[in-house]
Amino acid sequence: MRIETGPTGGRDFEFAAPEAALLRQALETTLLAYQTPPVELDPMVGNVWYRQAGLREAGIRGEDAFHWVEGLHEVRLERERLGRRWMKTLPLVGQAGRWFLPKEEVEAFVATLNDHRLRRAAEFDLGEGDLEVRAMEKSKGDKRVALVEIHFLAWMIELILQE
Amino acid sequence: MNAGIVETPASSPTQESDLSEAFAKGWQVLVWNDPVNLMSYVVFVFQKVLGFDEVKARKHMLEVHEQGRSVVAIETREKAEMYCHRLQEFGLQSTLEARPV
Repeated sequence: MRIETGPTGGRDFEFAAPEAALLRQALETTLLAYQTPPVELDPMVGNVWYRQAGLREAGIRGEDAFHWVEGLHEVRLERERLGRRWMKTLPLVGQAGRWFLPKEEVEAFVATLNDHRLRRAAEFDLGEGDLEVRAMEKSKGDKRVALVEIHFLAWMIELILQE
Repeated sequence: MNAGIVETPASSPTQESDLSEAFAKGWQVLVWNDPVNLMSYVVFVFQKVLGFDEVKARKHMLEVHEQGRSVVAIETREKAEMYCHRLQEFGLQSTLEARPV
């Protein structure tokens, strides 16, 4: 995978077929999760995307807490809208290819990739030791798939953010 | 230009106290360590949300990483809520609390 910052500040991507497919898979599942109302999410995922720890202590309760969470959901619904556009222009499954992300969408894209990493880590309750690359070799099945996605997207985020 | 003197209504001690509290920078925004967020991503978010330059963003990121948490802003209640919410939008573990007296 190659990612370069273009002259206008956007990002030029070049994907091998498996990389594009993995990105599509990650985006598809996270965009779907974005549509899910916070209260209906897997509680582990809800706890990382719509964190309420600390709100009560800060005096944010009841209706205020509801609006706090709703605000976080609104932001993710906006990313979902952008994401549907990204899905239309990414290389199709099975194909390598190039892709361009405009500068004004870089922030949302990176945040979406990060949300996917947070979600997958939460689904399997992965802690620091689990997230070491060596731990991936010992894992199996769905957990291994999640770890592959987490590490692949980490690599992508690092490449996008480096200038 | 009108040189007349305008008299303002007298304010009560409670109103003055409320105003004073609203403008006092008595709230701190914290970011907590977690195993998933990348250091480079945390620096990026600090720059975007809090307006830190890279040096300051890295300093606070390292505090989070090494000490488990960092106070990234001390602000009015309203602004502290805004920062905390924005940091959470990016997936960082952020809370706000009254500044210790």
